[in-house]
Amino acid sequence: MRALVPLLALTVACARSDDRWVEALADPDPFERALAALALCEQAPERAPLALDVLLETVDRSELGLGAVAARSLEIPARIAPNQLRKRLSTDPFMTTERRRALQAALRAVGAERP
Amino acid sequence: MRPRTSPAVGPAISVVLAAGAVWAAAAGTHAVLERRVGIGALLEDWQVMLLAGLLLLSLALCTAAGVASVATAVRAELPGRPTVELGAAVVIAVVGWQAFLLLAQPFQRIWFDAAAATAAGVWAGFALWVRGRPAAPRARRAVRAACAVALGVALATFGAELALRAASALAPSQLLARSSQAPRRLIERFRCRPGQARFGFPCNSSGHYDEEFFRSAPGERLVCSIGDSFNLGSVPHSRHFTTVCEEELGLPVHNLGVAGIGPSEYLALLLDEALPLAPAAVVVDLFVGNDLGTPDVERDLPDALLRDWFQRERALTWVVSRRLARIARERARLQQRRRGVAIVQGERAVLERFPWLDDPSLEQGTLAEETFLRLETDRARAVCGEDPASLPSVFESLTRMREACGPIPLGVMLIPDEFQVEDPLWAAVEAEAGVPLERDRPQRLLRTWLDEQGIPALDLLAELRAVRPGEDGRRHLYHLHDTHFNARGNAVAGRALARFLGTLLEP
Repeated sequence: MRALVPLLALTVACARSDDRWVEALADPDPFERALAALALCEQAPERAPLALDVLLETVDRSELGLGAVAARSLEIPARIAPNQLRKRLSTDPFMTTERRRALQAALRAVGAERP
Repeated sequence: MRPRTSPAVGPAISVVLAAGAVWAAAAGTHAVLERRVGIGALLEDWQVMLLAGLLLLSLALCTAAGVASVATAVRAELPGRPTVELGAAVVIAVVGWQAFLLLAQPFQRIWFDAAAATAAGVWAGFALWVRGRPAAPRARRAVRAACAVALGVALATFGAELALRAASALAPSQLLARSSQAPRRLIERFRCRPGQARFGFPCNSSGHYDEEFFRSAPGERLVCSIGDSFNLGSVPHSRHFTTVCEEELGLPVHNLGVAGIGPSEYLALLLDEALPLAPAAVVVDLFVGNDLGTPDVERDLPDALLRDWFQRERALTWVVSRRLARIARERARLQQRRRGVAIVQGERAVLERFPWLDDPSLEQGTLAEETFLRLETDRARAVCGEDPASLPSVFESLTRMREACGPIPLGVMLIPDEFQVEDPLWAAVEAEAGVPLERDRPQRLLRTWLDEQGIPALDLLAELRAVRPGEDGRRHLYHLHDTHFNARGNAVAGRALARFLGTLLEP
């Protein structure tokens, strides 16, 4: 059991800070960006609006296979900054159907469909 | 029996292998633990715990193996089995590589790091086990024989991949051409369902808006036409340009179309679906309105070398076996071929229901007028205001398509955007754009490159502009506020394509 202590300490010590996750939102690898956006929603919900662009990008990028998870995570920025999501819906008429559905579902889930 | 490795080399091999294992295990463990919050959003809690536990165990085993190797080297003792350890490293690397191709797709660096750490742990566990085993001669012989067989299979697998890559580089062919994973995902996302009805016509079993495809029998000729929503079409099947072309040409024209795709996906369709049908010619239908602005999502991604080896669509041993299976399947289907499997269901009724097919003045706009103008203006800015950003990746895709086609003639049909054909729309777009625009820039750039490459091209711009405008000044070749051809546009394109193919197919 004593051997587990340093291992658990290692696990905790390795974890990324909020700032590192925010930096990773600009990573050249789209999977890393997606991971950062999901982690930020989980670890620092108050900073989740920063991840909105990446979450929407992930909803659209079928090759990552993370569309459904990203769409669910949109609920967190929708709770913090619903106006940002509404603005996206109203200012981008050419967004993909998936993106539009995800935004609408997130706003609906937090009861913020209408201003 | 004493190990045959010399006293100096043996410990060095063990130390180098152990150091590599420690490094891989530490890097993988750190990468996963550092991202565990993000990974937690993708996996169940128990899966994250299991992964972390596995990696920490690997790290512990690698550290123990490293300490044992260094201790052996420092004491100048002969290590247990340096050649067995080396052989095991090769076998575990190849098995791990193949397991990754089977189980951990699509390639993502984090899963690669985790897999490498796990493989290092497996090797370290094996090395410690070998060192700790009593030297029973019979057991050692059995282990040696098993290792030799496993090593032979591993080296053969790796050698086969190397040989196929060398063959692909020296003599490009349709069998050895490679594409990537993202285009296939996009195609599957947007492909129609088999049997899905469009204007009363069911898509075929591949989800394309055409009758059932078949492979050409010896002595027969057929053509494959590859494209996006223009190929998917927004008119009844009988009015689609490939059907018009088929009737004019007197040859089957298989229509492979998926909405929302671009040149990278055309390459994947060519390799996976068109070439197994043994076409006499292939035509790629490039829509200048958005095919030049579609970014290649896999371009400039990090870890290019790792992706080249650890992405299933890049591993030729996998690609070739899958392609051969597809060709065998098409040959088998040829035996039981029946034309017209896709049964036309009420297409005449659809014609009655949509009278605008024969009278464009009755068309209802798909988009609101201002939305449509904004879309067209954005497209004009992207392709006429400056050289399109994605042009190099379009050229790269076309080059790879030509290489994949080999002796099969490849042609390109350039489909203009509506603002290039309808003068009143162009005037509105120019007024809206706010930047100088060159109306025919995409065709000029594409035609120059295609001519240089010797790839025959059909530019529909002249054909469509040759249609006399109506009293309202419009040619009515595109559906109202929609961006796609209506029945009139399809008819012009189909006839022009038939003439083009007639030339392309000349011996």
